[in-house]
Amino acid sequence: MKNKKEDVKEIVKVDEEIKKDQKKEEIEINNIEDEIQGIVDGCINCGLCKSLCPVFKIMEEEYYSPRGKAIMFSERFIDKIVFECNLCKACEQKCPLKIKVWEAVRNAREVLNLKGKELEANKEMMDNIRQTGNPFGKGDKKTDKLYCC
Amino acid sequence: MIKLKSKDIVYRTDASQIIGNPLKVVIPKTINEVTNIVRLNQKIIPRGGGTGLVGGCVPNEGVVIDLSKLNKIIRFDERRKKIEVETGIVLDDLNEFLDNYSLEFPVKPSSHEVCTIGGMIATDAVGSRAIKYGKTSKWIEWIEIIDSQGKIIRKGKAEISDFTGLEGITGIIIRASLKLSPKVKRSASIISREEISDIIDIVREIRLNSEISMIEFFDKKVSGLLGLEKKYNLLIEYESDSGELKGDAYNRIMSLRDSTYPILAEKGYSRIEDPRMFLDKISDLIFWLEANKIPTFGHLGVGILHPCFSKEQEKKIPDLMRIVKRLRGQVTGEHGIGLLKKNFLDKTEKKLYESVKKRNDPKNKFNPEKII
Repeated sequence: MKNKKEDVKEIVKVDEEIKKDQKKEEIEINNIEDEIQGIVDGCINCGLCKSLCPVFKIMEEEYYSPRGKAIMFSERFIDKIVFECNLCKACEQKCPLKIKVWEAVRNAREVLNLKGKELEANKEMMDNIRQTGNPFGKGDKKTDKLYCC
Repeated sequence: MIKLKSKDIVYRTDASQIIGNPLKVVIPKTINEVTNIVRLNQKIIPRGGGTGLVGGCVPNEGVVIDLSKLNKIIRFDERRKKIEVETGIVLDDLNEFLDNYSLEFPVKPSSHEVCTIGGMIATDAVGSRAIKYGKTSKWIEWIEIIDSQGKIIRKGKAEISDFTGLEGITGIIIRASLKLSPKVKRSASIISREEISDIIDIVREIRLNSEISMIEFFDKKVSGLLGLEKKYNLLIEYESDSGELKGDAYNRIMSLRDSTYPILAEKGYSRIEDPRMFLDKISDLIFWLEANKIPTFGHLGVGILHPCFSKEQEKKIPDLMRIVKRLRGQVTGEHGIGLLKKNFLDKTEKKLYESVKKRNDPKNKFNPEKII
């Protein structure tokens, strides 16, 4: 009987810890989403960023444009399309208000990562770095700190 | 309003920042696809670069057709200075191609880097060089449109007025034959004056000079924000070496000019208007704008001003329209009517638009709720 009681206590404790972690993660996601929204807050939708964005130039769809991404972020909508960005900062260079959509994109990737919704290729890359210190899984030592994601 | 939970959210607005609600978004790659979409749907909103400032492509539950992928050059005749294009082509991309032949499409709205030829035809765009080159329609030989039955019809010079400046309410403009102009070397100068009357006198004196292709005006507040001398300033573009700013300096001042509105919008003056006035009435309007602390710039060569209002100042827009009409000006000189200016049309104008709409799109399929 005693053992069972202890087991239940243990389970409850673990459950509480999981819930705590989940809450922490939720708060973290919320904070990052706030930050993302703040970055694109001043966007006036002029669309000038489209003229330099190399991804938009190829895809020719508003979804892939920095303006499109800024509209999504302003509504706190984060889609896997954020992985379709070179982080080249051309949008910031072209933007008359110097809005850093690339930075919002980087943060949005972090949100998807925290939610476990990153791309398979991305997941694989991170696992490789964790295990071998190399994104292609070809390194021979583990690293203590991860600088990329 | 339905809260969209898909990436189509990006098509709910344009540079006007008015929020709409697309039912569906389609991005056709061929003209055949466009005809099928027109046949199969009841409410269609054509969209080009999405740079309009009056909500011309903001959807209300209809199907948005993004024409950006229909951007091919079909035929080019260097000798006759003519080019046939699909209308999703971006103006600067077209001019980049034409640069190889020392030709250009000379109408230049400040969104030239991203606006499409289709959007320019649909709004009959004017731009900063209007003083020399006029409106987009002046440079069109013919257009091809898709009508409400899904048929492709070619409209010659005499018939294009049912489509140019009609903001897509009468059909989808898919191909166009454009006339071109030889590319010339350009330079620019800035003239600063303390008094508005001096500025008007200068414009009156120089605007018939064929060497000049652009006369841009910035009031004292806008000049300060742009880093110019805090007076009334004129930016004059010459189609020769007569200007003081050449080469890189010329390119820098032109790019500063293009970012005037974005800079004002960032400062909170995001609602832009475009009244067109006779030159001798401009000072009256500027006095009123200054008294109400409304920053203004514009294409003074053709009498178009761009007063920019903050959220708190927006309640003064009906007053502006009344003053413009009293001074015998037009409430819109180049941005079109879209959703924003419907209420400022008078009865005669409304009737005219209604009859053109009825003639070309009796079932109200194209861009409903715009203009009328």
